[in-house]
Amino acid sequence: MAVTETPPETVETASAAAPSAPHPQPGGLAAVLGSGDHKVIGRLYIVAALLLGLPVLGLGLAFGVEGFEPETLDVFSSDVAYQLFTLLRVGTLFLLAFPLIIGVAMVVVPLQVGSRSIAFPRAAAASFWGWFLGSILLIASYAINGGPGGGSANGVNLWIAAMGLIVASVLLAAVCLATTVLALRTDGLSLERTPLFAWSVAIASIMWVFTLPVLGGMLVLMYVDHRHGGALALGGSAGIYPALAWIFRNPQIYVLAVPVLGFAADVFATASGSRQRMRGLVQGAIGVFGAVSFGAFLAIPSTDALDSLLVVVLGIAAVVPVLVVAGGALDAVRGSGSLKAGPGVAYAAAGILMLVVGTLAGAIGSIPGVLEVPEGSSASSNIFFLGITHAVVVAAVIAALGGITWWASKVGRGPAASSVGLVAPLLLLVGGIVMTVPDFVSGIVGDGVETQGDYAGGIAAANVVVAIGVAIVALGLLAAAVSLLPLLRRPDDEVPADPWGGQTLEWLAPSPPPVGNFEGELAVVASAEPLYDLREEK
Amino acid sequence: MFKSGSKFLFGLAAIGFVAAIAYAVATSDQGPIDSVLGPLTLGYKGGVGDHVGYSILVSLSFLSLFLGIFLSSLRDADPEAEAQLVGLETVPEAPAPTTANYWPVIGAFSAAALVIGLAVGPVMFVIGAIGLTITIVEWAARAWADRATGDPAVNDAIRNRFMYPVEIPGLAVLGIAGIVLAVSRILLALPKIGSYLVFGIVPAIFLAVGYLVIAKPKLSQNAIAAMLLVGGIAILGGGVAAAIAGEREHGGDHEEEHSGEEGLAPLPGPAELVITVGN
Repeated sequence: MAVTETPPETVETASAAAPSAPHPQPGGLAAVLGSGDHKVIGRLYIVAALLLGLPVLGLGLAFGVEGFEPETLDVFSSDVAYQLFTLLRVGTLFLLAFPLIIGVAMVVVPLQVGSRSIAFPRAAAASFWGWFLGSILLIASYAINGGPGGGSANGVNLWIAAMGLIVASVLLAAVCLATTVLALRTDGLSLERTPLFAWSVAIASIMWVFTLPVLGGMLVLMYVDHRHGGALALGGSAGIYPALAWIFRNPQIYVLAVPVLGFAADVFATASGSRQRMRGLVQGAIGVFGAVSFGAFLAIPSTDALDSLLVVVLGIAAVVPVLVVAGGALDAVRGSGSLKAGPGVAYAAAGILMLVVGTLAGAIGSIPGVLEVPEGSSASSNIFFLGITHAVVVAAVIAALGGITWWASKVGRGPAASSVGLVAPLLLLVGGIVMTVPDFVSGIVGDGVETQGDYAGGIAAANVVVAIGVAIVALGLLAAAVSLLPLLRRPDDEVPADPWGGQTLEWLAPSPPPVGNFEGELAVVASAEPLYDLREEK
Repeated sequence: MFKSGSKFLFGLAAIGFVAAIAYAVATSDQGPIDSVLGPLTLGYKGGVGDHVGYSILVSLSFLSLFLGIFLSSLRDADPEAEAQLVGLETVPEAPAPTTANYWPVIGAFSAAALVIGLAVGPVMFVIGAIGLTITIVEWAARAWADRATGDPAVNDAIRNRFMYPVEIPGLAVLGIAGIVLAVSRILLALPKIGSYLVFGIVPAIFLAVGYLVIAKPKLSQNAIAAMLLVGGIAILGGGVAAAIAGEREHGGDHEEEHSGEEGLAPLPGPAELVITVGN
């Protein structure tokens, strides 16, 4: 008998067990380490992102304090300030914002498209563990005097390699998410009917797949260059961060914020209790926003890309799709004449407003001559772009926290606390604006350089306002964390499957959803709002 | 064949290409023929004006074309189209994984070891590479078996039948190698009398435990597992501790070795070795 042939006793067992009872689910540590359930993996992403990413924001606060009096108030010694500055930039993006968005998407997207699983569930699990271990190694590299500008060769090499592992893991997650939307939709759910959050995640994931390999390729070059004595002349450890700065500025930073639009569109349509009248336009706008967020061409430092008329036009145009989605949300509310206000709606409004601030600033910054470029600096080193990055990252974090709150009964065990949940997005929005607007002012009328010799940058008075903004954001995050605590404990009453009068399939799943997500077979979907159809039929 | 997703992308590809040509012509400072011929031939016969903007638009066009072809080949991956492709009324749902699979975690740890190896040295790199290789093989076997039938228990049986002939000898080799390495470190680290004792006691314990297992067939599995666990930890822990402590002084042996070297002409040190190359 061939080794791949199924032995007769196995066939008998299979025949006897064909209509078998459900396989016992692994429990305890096995349920965490060995799980392929997309909800478990998503929760792991969310918890780990909050644990690893929030301390990084503490760094931001410390930098803000140093900015009070850059010349006299040295929170960080000049030996480590540059390294910690890079940790702040990389950490907010890859340790907080990306994994938070991915975590929410991992839980929600398969539910929204009516799938019982995420595509490539084991790869999704590998993406989490790879990202998690890569993040720990990244932090460890700073601890041994590594990272950009670090003094330890091994530490710098470790930083580059750990970043490579993080990028590869994010790419793996993106492939899983995009494939889920493209290939695992339930019967009748065509691409046009795909829920807008799932659609936006698919667009964002595809853009990550298109642009992050450029970052990965650059990391390989840097590793080879640094390990083998600077043969490629990339500038050693000090040259690492400037070469990667393109991922932190617009338009590339917008790839992070595409799901903000989908989240806002979904929440407003549901809260207004009506079908999204401008759905086609909103869906198209999300696609366009994804397309204009392509910024990998900025990876070549010597290019004159920023002077190109098309880049200028695209930079200015990026605000249009955001305004279209905001208009679609308002139209949904106007069409129904009602709005069920709650924390989810507050988060959605705050997220899209913050993104409007970021993209509007991006549009202004793209106009030639608005920003003064100091002699010997590149255009990207203007502190104005730091403000844009912060605005977009805050928008993404607001949307991610909003997603956890809105889909709380799917992400956790029960609904989030609504009163504190209403305060959190407000604080995050106000803090985000207070934190970013001074950087815009500094960029236009100040000295303009993002990292001065004292690593504070900007106008000292404006930096005080930035620090206050960071403190408000930190307070907002604290409020959000408090509002999410009920997700951890089992509620006394049964949690309703659909607390908001939802329109899309995730609200058909029990709360919290079991393995396999749905009980029984799903009916064929006939519109973009299948649950709305069901209610109309009744 | 062409559904709305692919139609949209083909439209975008066409618009992108037309826009690229229009943009190239508008930003070109060449004559009318060259300014049109350049963008049409992707810059082969003439300039393309602002090459950054032109490249972005052409990239958009080609990327949309690629995605359009990809989506049209899948017919937007609409479930109805997929079902038609496999000749069924409805396409089977992708089942949720119900069993624990540790290979993603092991793979991630191996990748982390590889990353550390890239920074600090080849030993960790090799460990990571070996770990990743094992992960790939085991993961592939597992993925294959998970799709064999609809019953996880049967799938496990199929996987084990296929992989046990590889795994059990592999693990046995690793286990024996680990024990030999650990015991050898202990013997080298302990004083002479201690190493004689260990050399006698450890095999005696092995023999005693083996006899106990045979003589008491009703011995609970937990008791056997506990004994193996304690023994394993003792040997491995002792080995690690001994490796950290280093070998004992082998004074007498060195003298013997040196005495054996007597009469031999000393080799020159590296600094004394001079190689002269003449013309």
